[in-house]
Amino acid sequence: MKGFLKLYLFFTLTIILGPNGAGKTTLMRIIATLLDPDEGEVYWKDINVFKEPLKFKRVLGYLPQEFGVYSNISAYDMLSHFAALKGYSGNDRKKVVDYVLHVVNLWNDRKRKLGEYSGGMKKRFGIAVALLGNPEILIVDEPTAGLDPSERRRFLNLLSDIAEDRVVILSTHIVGDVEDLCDEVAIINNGEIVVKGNPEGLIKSIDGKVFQKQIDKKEAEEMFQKCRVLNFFLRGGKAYITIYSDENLGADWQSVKPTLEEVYFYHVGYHTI
Amino acid sequence: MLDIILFEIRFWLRTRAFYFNSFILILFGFLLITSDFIKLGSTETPIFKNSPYMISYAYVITLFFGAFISAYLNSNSAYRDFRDNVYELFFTSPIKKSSYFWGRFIGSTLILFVIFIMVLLGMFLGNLAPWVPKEKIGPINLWSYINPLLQFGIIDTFFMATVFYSLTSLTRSAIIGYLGGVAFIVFYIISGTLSATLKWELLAIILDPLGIAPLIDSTEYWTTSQLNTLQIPWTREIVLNRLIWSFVGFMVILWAYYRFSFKVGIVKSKKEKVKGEVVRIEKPTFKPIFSVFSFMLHTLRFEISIFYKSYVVLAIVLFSIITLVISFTGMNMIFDTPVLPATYILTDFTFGNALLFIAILSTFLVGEIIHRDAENKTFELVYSSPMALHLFIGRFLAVILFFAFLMLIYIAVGVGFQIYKGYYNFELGVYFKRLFLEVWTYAFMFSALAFFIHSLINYKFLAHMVFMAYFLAVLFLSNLETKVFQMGIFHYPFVPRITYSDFYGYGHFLKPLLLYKAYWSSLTVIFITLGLLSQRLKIGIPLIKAIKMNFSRIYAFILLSSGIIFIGLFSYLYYNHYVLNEFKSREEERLLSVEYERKYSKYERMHIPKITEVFFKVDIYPYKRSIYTYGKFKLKNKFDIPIETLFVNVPNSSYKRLEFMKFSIPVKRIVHDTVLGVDIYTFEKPLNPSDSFYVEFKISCEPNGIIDGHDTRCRVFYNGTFTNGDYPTFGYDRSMELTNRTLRKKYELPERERFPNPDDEFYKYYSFVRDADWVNFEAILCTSPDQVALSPGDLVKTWRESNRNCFKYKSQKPILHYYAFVSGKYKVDSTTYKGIKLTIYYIHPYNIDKMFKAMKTALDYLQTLYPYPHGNLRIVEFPRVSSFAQSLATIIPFSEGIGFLADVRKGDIDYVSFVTGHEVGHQWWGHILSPAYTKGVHFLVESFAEYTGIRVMEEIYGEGNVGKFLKHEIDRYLKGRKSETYKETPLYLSEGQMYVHYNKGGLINYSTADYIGFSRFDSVLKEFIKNYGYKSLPYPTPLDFLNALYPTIPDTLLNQIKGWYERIIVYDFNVENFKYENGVVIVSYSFKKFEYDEKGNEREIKPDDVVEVGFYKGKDLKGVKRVRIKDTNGKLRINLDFKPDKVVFDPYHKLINRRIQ
Repeated sequence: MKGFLKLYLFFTLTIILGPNGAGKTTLMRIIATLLDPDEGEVYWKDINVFKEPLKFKRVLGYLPQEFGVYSNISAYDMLSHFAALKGYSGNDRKKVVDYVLHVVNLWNDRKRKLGEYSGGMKKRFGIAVALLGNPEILIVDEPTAGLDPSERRRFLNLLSDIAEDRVVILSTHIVGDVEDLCDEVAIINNGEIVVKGNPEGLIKSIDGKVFQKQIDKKEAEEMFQKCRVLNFFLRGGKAYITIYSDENLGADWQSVKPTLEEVYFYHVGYHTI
Repeated sequence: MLDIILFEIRFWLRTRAFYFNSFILILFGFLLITSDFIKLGSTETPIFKNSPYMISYAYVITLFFGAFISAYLNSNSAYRDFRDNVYELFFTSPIKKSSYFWGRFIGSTLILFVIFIMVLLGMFLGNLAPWVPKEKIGPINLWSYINPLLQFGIIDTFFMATVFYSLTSLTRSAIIGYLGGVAFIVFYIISGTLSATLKWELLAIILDPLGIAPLIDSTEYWTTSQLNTLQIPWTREIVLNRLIWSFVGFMVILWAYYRFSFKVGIVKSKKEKVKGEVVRIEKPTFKPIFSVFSFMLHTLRFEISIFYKSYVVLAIVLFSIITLVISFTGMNMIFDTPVLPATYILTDFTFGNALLFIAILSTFLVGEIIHRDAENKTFELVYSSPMALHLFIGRFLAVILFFAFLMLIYIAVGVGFQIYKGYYNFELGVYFKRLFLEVWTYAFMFSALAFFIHSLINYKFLAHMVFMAYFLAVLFLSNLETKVFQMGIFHYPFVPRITYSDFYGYGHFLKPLLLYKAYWSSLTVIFITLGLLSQRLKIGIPLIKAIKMNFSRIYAFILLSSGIIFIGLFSYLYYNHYVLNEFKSREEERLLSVEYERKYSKYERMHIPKITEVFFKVDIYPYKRSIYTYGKFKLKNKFDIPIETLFVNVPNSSYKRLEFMKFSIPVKRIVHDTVLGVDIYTFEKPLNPSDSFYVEFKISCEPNGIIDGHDTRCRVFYNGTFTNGDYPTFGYDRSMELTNRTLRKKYELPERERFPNPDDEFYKYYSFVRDADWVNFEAILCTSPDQVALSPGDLVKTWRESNRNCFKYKSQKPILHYYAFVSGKYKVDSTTYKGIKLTIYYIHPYNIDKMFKAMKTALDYLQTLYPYPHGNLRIVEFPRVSSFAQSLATIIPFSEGIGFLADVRKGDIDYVSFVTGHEVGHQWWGHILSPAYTKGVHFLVESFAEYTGIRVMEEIYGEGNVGKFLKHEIDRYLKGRKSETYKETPLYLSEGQMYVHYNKGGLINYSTADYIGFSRFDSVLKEFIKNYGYKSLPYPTPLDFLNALYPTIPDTLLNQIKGWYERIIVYDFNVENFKYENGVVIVSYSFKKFEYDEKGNEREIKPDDVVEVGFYKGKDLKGVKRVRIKDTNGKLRINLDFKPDKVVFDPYHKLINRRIQ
């Protein structure tokens, strides 16, 4: 990652949106004290995160993008272990574990071995780990990947709920997540923040300049070279293209209301057919 | 399939593992030949490093350790598609199951075979190294390198490969393969324990999958010359073993093939969801309290539950228990007779057995706890939590807690074994003390080392390797000649040898034990701290940065304080070991001998005056471990020439010193050599024949500080002191000389016989107590008020003097100038038998009755030869710091380690009675008849004591039991020849070779007596003692005995018996089959007779021998007939009035038959 990043976060939900390889995970790991940047600093309140990682870890909840479990241990025992790692003991530990198990809807499966968990359940388990310890700052890296729609909805609601009294940083490459949640968005590309702001503002910035048209598949190639393409999709055997234009393009182009997805592609570029 | 084989081979040829392993094996083979660090067997014997036997042996040992290479390689071939998650691609491609399975198997097995060849290649290249001493290398024979491949390589490689490949391809887990590697070790240990006995030898041969046991067994009776020249033949043992294990191999691989399937195992899905439990839970708002203590408690519980679920851990623990029980069964067996399972013996064996498993478990468990989060991809979750670093402390504590549980398991196994044996004196305190203080601490220290290595290296496999390399290195480090490697202060985490005894518990060994444990513990704390600091809690962070990050003042404090303690204790121990006391490397010890011979051998043949009267005043301070000896000797010139000089050997160690030495006539000291401990005096007026004078001296022995080694200085212990006494000796001491031929050559000493010839004109005036004639003896011993003190002679007075117990002993008859001074707290049993007072001083009561009975039986027999000259005879138990019994006039110190704890059951060989008989025999053979210090001196002393022991056993148990015992004697003799360092001598010229004068000597004397009739043989002995008892100047030689014996032997037996005494004869005979017709048994036999030269070269000679033929009805020996055999093969016709079930030659093992099993 390069560049200078200055983020101030106050009791909000921040989403970091970027394509694969953009450096989202790297950024998350840096904040979670798992990676040292070449230079730069991270502060939480008055804690210098690199100088006093322990103090910071005490208020941190972190859900990595990919993680494993000890497969022959039950979810409850493993979660209890993580609760211990976060500093809970005795009855307190039991209470927090029970709570997060309910929150992520794993209560009924708590006695099963983690090796038997499906991908989605594992993800929820990870979320449970991140929620343990009542963290002041919650970092979640690609939390919705692998969740089914209802789980996703449930989780996003949960995050909104949580974000009310703490800072949540969420990274994703799914634009829909952002729309559903956002207070503030930062889009990263090639390790640099290209834009940030609240979603409404970002959408407003390109509102009226987004047009869509049904085209022949053969024309697509030409269009990609000529225009600033924001989206391209096939539906029912027909091709649709969405582009950005400062001028009004005439009747065969239909002006459409942009979504955050178009904002995203506006900033990172749309590359493939 | 060929494609897949080739693919597999190419795959391995591209890996680093292939070249790494090949290189290691070449290097290993090369070093075996060219260095002294890595060696198999003894370097003292003249066995060539490249002899066919050594090559085969080195090769199978490599195969044994190579099980781990196989575990890696074959498992990998079976497993890597699963590990890399490409199995779905493979299994859905159009490859046939058979091609995939067999292709992978054959390919990896061929590679394995090639890797194992490398050790042979390395050994071959070693031949060409110019710096290897010529006498260590024999002629190069290519077949020696091919034969082991055929005999062992092919089948062993195949077998190992089948096991690891099958296990892994069925379980689809690599770790199972490694477990297989540990299982090989277990098999080997079990087989090794069993083969130490005669009873279970066959089982041991069958049980060893790699063929090491049958290889050793096939060559166990070979001489050094045969080992050097003969190729290993396809003996029955080897063929049987190979057939069994190749069959097992085929079965295993076919079974695995049958079970192998391309289908991916069905995922078990337990869908028992507990439904409907919708509980709204209040959101907890409390903050964590970060209690370190409760976190540790949690981690211990959590980790222990993980260990407990690990099959690997369970399997290793199980293996350890199995080998432990096996080693308990075989422990301290003498002649296959076990010992009572006293707790302190069981704990010894637990330690010896557990060490390897503790090392393996240490690195395994620590490897798991260090790398678990990286392997399970949980590191991000774990390392981002606030207690991450504490977690590693907790996990390490869990490892050592696990070992504490293991100790409890060991205790349970020990107690279980005691109950099984019907021994109910459990002594739980001793278990806890010894296991936790001695064994568990090793687990703690090894785990700490593993923790350090794994944390530092951060590569699991490599860290395991480094750890095991250290473990093996520290075990074998002291093999190196360089002094610093022999210094115990560098052997983390080992302590100098200690001996726990029922006499004193830990006694004075406790202090060095605790000091060393503290010393290594301080280093252990440093290891743990550094290991902890090296935890890389960030991704890709370099070590130094990680340490900086984890560092805090508390660690600085710990490191600093344990560093100070470590340096302090190091300095203290270093000062004690190497400054206050002397520590000599083996080389330095040898150089003293070399120097002694070079400087003083010119004094060898100067006559010395003989000691004729002795007075001692011995002060023993058991609790200070000190002994002070004042002595006054009368010396007399017994020769017919004047003596001008007196050569004196005086103590010269850091703890024992000569306080003064005074002569009653004027002398001048001309040599004062404090390094070698030699003073040489000249008499101002030469000592004329029959002139005499007195010498007075005082020697103090006071151990100071702690030494690096087994501390038996002064031989004084808190309880159970036994010393041969401290006094100067006179005359050049030939026994100081180096005898090993290779070493003599190395130090450029002249070729020299180990002992003078029997007709030596000088030495016939000297017995093995060189400087004394028969002496009049008187001694006063004083010891602490709670102990009694004993010495040779009759007790004439006891009294208390300044709160000490004092005893005065005096011998009514002259005795040999050879003593025991004993002090201890004893239970005493005594009885008077035919006017002789028999007493046993003991602490273990179990075999006292046997000893009394054996003493009486021996006295009854021996008094028919010559009357016992003294009024009393005592056996005294002493601590097992040494394991022997020794006979001094009227007193027999007998170690607690050999006999007092023997567990003799019906049918066992009662070696308690045997050893007792042997030692009582020495009261005649040694103490009445004292031979000249020439070749055969041991024959005249030991072979007849041995004969007495056998006679005592026969008297008590009968001829059958003796036959069983003689079988062991033959076995020990034949095995002993292998370790001969110079040359084997005929029996009558035995020169300090135990296997000749004990094992062969007792047997030959007994067989001779049996052949010519016991009364005739005993009358020879009677006559011999009558003529030579108490004889001196000249002393009797073995020739005197043979001259007395031969005239009594009938001509029909003379040649045969002469051969037994004067030549090296070994038989090889058995009955091939027999028929019974009309009262006649027709026996077809093979009867070979071999003669060996002193180097061990074999020559077959024509038999003309009398041998017994035994006829069995069922299991009972019903009849024995003597026959004369003149042909190597033939038929015997023997009249017999019943039809035998079995016919054997020599049922009582009176002849040395190498086909004894």
